[in-house]
Amino acid sequence: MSSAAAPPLPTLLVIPTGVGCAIGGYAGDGLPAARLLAAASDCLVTHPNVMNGASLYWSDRRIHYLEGWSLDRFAAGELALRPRPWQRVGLLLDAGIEPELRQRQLQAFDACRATLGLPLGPVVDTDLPLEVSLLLGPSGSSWGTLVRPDALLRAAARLLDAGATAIAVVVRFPDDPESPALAAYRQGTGVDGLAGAEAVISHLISQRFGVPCAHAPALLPLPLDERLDPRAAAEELGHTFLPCVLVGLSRAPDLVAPTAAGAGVLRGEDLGAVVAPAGALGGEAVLACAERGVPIISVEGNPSLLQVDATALQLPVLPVNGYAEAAGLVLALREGLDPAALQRPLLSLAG
Amino acid sequence: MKSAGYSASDAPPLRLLPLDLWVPPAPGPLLHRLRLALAGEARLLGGPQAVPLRWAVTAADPERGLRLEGVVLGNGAES
Repeated sequence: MSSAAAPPLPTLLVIPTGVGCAIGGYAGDGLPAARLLAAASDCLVTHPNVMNGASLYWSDRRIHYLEGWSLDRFAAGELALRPRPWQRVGLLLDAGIEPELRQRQLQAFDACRATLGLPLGPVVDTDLPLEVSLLLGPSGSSWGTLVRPDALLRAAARLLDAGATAIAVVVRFPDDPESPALAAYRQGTGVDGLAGAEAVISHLISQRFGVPCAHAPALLPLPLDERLDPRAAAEELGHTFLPCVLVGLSRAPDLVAPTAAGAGVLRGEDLGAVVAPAGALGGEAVLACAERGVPIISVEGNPSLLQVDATALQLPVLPVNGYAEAAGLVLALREGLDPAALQRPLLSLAG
Repeated sequence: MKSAGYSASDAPPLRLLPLDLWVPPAPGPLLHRLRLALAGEARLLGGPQAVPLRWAVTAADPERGLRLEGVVLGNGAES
């Protein structure tokens, strides 16, 4: 007997930032996996690191764009998501950006208004340069710091008071075109050295104000690299990394209390699956999902520099080789199929 | 959305600090244990109001337990 399509299976896709994931560790190269999982689940929650490809982006109403701090809180059931037709995205610019580079950001902002019709504005500059430093942790994962986090928060407050409902941040990041680490990244063998600091910036704003936020770095153009890896190529297409952030935020959900009423509010308890790299299961969102009994689909085919797997954490997982298989498993869960029934041998329950 | 009164005058001086911590093996719910350890380490590093801003388990060792790396948002107090 046939039936109508199964209801959506809200699914969380996590590809940790700044740990060199083979898929999703570069310039929005997790996007094809996100699109596939959105089609399989009909409701995907994921974060900017997966979706942002500088000038390249994909907007899909089935995909909820959620910065990492908020994503962790959502997975833990501490906040919920209320989809809305649009956000008014304000632009927060670091006072450390040189005039010409600043103008490039503003032109990208204008372009997204004129060409995509996005509701954008206002624009606010920080009162002091933020002064980002990029660092590597003991594991080799990237992170970073700001000398003046409070200047960032003051500017965010001004944007919200002026009517923004979501915040795109552009901070001047250090240029280091000759560094071996950058060369390795561009050639597809290294860690995104900016990603960890970007996450810190967006976490700060979301944690303090509870609004959608994402970051794009301001950098000078790089010299041509003939050996550029396709996964890093999106970052070499233009003068800014801003368009993907504006598109993502323009349809980001509101962050609301888990007790918020109303149709369409998505809560952590609604999650039917979480998909994460098999060696990078130690993030708060995945651990919170595990605690709540959400099935964890661990993707073996997305290695990173971490080896924090299900055995190390004593987590029950559904292992798959890649995202295509993960999408099949999401579809199976959505259809109410026992994943074990798709494998052989099938052990008898009769003992 | 308004900023709930956040301004220069009431903003404490904030600091971002690296966190690197081993949590030894122990019984009990994992996430709860990690959060407790993180909260304690954050206060140690960044003062009584400090909170972990971003963290993940980055290594596992049978003897030492789980290694956590992250960033603490401190409120200006010295450790």
